[in-house]
Amino acid sequence: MNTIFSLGIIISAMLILSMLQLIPGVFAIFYHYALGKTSRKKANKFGLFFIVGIISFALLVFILTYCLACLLSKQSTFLNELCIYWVLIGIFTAVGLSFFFFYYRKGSGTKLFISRNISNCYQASSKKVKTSSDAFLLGFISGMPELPFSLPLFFIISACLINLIDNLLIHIIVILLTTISVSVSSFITLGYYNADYNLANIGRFRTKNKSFFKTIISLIYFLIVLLIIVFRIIHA
Amino acid sequence: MLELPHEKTIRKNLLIDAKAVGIPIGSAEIFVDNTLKSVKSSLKQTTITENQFKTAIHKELKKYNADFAYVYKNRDKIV
Repeated sequence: MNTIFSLGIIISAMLILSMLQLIPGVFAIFYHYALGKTSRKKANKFGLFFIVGIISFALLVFILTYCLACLLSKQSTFLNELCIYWVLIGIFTAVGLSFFFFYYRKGSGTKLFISRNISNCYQASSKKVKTSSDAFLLGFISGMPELPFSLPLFFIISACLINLIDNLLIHIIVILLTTISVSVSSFITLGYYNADYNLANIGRFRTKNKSFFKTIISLIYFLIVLLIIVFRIIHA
Repeated sequence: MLELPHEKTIRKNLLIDAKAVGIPIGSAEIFVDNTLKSVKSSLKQTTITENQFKTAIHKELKKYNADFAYVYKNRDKIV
């Protein structure tokens, strides 16, 4: 039961992390400008540094949440308490509802919840990337505004991992898999660009599948809530 | 004919978009120059809003390449 619960949560959270739309959106704009200003080879190099930046940020956040979860589990039986599961249910319900109603702005295109100033800042920074370190830093900061949606996922993965198995090697593998899952959508975007797609094709694809992503991600958030209710509240 | 402010910057940005979309440089230069010429001659007023200007450019670019026009119009609607 514990294994099914933990694996279910970890896989669901990884799925959400791989489908969030801000990072691939920034990546698409960044790569578009890189391609317009430099050669494809150089743009690919910048693209890889951007993805390394995404992975570094995700790794940093995940390690922090993992340490927090470790600390809490060693301090007391904090993670096994019933009340913490009710808190998690509240958080994930709120995040799931917020995702459905506020993640995309109304209107055409795929304008996200972030403020227009931040969006313009990403556009301007993407235009000005000249070195690999610029690309790395842009990748590093691209996931920050999405933390309200990703941080609870990192925390619950850490908590489930600690509850599931006491093996450092497996923990490291899951940490690496999770951080890589954050960059999967950017890898796919990079693949699209290298298969001669352009920002117009990617923009149209994102707009066409906007409702699908919104619905499916919200449903996965609610699936996590359901898993907690079934395995930790009812069976407890 | 209307004088466009920052015409060089607009031209440069359009060429970057064109290259990124996959239009060869020679063709991109012809598209962009023709677009700017048409926009300048089509806009009769001495003062125009940014939206009017964008719509006029989008309309002209659409004649040459749909993807190029889409990118110009929707660039700021991606994130």
